[in-house]
Amino acid sequence: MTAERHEEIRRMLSACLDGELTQGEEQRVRVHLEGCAECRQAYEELARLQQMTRSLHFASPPEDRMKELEKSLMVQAPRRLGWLFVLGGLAAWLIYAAVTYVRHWRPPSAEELIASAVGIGFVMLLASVIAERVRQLPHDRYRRIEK
Amino acid sequence: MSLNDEAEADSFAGFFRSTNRRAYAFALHLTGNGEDAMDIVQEAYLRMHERWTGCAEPGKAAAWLYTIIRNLAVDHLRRRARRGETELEEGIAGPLVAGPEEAAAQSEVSRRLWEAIRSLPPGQREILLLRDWHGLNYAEIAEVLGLSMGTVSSRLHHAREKVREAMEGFLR
Ligand SMILES: [Zn+2]
Repeated sequence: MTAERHEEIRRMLSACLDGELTQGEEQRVRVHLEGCAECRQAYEELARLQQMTRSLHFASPPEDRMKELEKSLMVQAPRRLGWLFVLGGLAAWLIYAAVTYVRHWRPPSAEELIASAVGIGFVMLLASVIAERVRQLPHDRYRRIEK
Repeated sequence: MSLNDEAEADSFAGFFRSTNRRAYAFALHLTGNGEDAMDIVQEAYLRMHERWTGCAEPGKAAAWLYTIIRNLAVDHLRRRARRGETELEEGIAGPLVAGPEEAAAQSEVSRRLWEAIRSLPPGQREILLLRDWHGLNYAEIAEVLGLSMGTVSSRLHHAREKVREAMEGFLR
């Protein structure tokens, strides 16, 4: 076997280890390894290195902060859905009220007055939440970075 | 053993649980600071969560997570460099402050190995860790780092040859 041939195989060992060669290339490497103890040893050493690297231990994340993050992630989805319903319902109600008002004006009933009070209250709460969010925006330091 | 194979990766909760330790380690390698790493990981998961429903293939999620973390870390280091706290290169290149935990408790071999990995050129070290420790495949690494798969493969080959040389005598 020529030295060139060994060199060529050596360059493919790493990708072979990762299963990233084409079928043909992998076949070539396997055949060579069968007949070449030197390259076979190189391959085994690379495999051993990969095993060792995989089992290095790195610092663990702070347990309490990860727990906190997990909790806040799980709470967020239903909360967003909730807001969607509230906003959607509110918008529909406002449109309905406006249309009714324009089409046939008459003195409002007690039920309508109560519903209006609840609706106005909601709108005010919502406005305050939105205002608070807007005030917080400049402090969110990662906001501008996109994926 | 790719991240993608891990079972419950289809729900966000499962994805979070199976990836958060690695995500933290990656951020730690990039920033060299535990507090910054945790901030970055938190922001990355929050962002992913916002767009999770659009991620039809859980297999793509790992590369996505790593990409966000890397971008956040680069931005963070750039800001730190502007304030004169660190050189940008130095950050990513990193004198990797965050080495294996409890270095004393680790075996002599692990310490030697870490030394060898540490002294690789940054571009090679990052790929080696993404492949062998984080378990990303070539396509995922290429996506995260914005490189071609050929570059990933050849850098990995060179990195491994260097480490193998440094570890001679420990591998039989
Ligand atoms: Zn050979």
